[in-house]
Amino acid sequence: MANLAISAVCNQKCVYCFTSDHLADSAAYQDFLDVGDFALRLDFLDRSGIDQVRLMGGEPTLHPRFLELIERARVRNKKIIVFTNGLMPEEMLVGLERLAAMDCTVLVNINEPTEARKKIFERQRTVLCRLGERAMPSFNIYQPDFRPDFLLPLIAEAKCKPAVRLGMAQPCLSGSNYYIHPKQYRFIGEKIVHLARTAAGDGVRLEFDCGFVRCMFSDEDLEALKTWGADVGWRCNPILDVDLEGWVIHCYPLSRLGSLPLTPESEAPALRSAFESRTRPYRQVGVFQECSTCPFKASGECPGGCLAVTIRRFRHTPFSLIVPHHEAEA
Amino acid sequence: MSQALLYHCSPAIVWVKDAGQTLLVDRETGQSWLLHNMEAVIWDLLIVGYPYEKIIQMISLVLSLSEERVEHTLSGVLRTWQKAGIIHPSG
Repeated sequence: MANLAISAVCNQKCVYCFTSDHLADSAAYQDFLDVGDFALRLDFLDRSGIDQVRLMGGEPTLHPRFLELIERARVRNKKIIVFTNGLMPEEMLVGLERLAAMDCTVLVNINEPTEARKKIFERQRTVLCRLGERAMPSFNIYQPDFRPDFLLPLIAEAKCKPAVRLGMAQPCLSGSNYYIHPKQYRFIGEKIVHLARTAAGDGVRLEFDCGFVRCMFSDEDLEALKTWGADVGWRCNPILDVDLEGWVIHCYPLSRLGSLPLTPESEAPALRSAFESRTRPYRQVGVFQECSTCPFKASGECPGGCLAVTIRRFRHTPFSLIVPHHEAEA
Repeated sequence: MSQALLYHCSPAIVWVKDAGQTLLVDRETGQSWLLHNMEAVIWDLLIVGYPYEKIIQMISLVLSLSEERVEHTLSGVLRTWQKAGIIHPSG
């Protein structure tokens, strides 16, 4: 898996957006990926044996040549995954409507509809309805009192894929975005179980993004989630996000942990391995103090949550100490 | 010859306290150290800024050890940390 950024521009300002560190660090950024550079990205995917092109941004559909990029990816028999907020230009929506459902998945990230966001939600609803089975809603939990009830009627109306991709907002290393504090995980877990139960009744399954932890759920709830078809998983590994300038990062939240250049020889497994080495020292612990003694972490079943949360637990303390009677070495 | 020595924490060192241990990581080299028992206690007292004599007194009191023994251990720990690059001397 690797995500390709094709746009640094977004027409939304989600408070939980985790690209803020990376975009702030790249002030001289171009707005959109050059079409020639896109071919190099496809070469990288080919070399790595990856048959999906996962397009993200910013908002990827704002790329003026978005449909041309898709066409180039389709020529190489890639399955298309688009991470969008749904507020796409009409031309791009029409282009996506022409793709077969088996060739693409358009993940439409939707925030809770409010009075202030009414127009935005209406457009997202329209996009979901027109894309139908090509589309799937995704929902980011960034506050404990989230209300996802609107998702199920929306899926029924749009006849899109009967699933919801659930994300839990994670921090950038700077902590400049909204995110869920681990103290709130258990409470969030209970609400997710409630959502999964209702969703299962409507034939809709939940898919979990990275950063969830096993101890968010009781053993009974976990069994129930599996019974209801939820794709429960505890992951935190190098996704590999490739930015507009050809730098590869572990993932956006960890962009300040360093980047590696995408070269004509780069392959995903080697890049992933390099990031794993770089992050290994921090993975000895987790988001909770108890993670390092947890049997599920020890067995590898749970990685201990999002590494960005874990790294934000670390501190530097600039202490000094005077040793009064130090015996100088001869 | 006996003389005073000033130690500083290396700027690349970050730490986190966990259940029963303290993990130190060098952000630049990726090296890491797990501290347990007296090492972890020494680290705890250093980061809150206790002076040398106070550290010895407190550990002696808490662990019921003689101050001479604690000072001997503390010297050894500081030398080990200096060699590892966790702390560095100046002055």
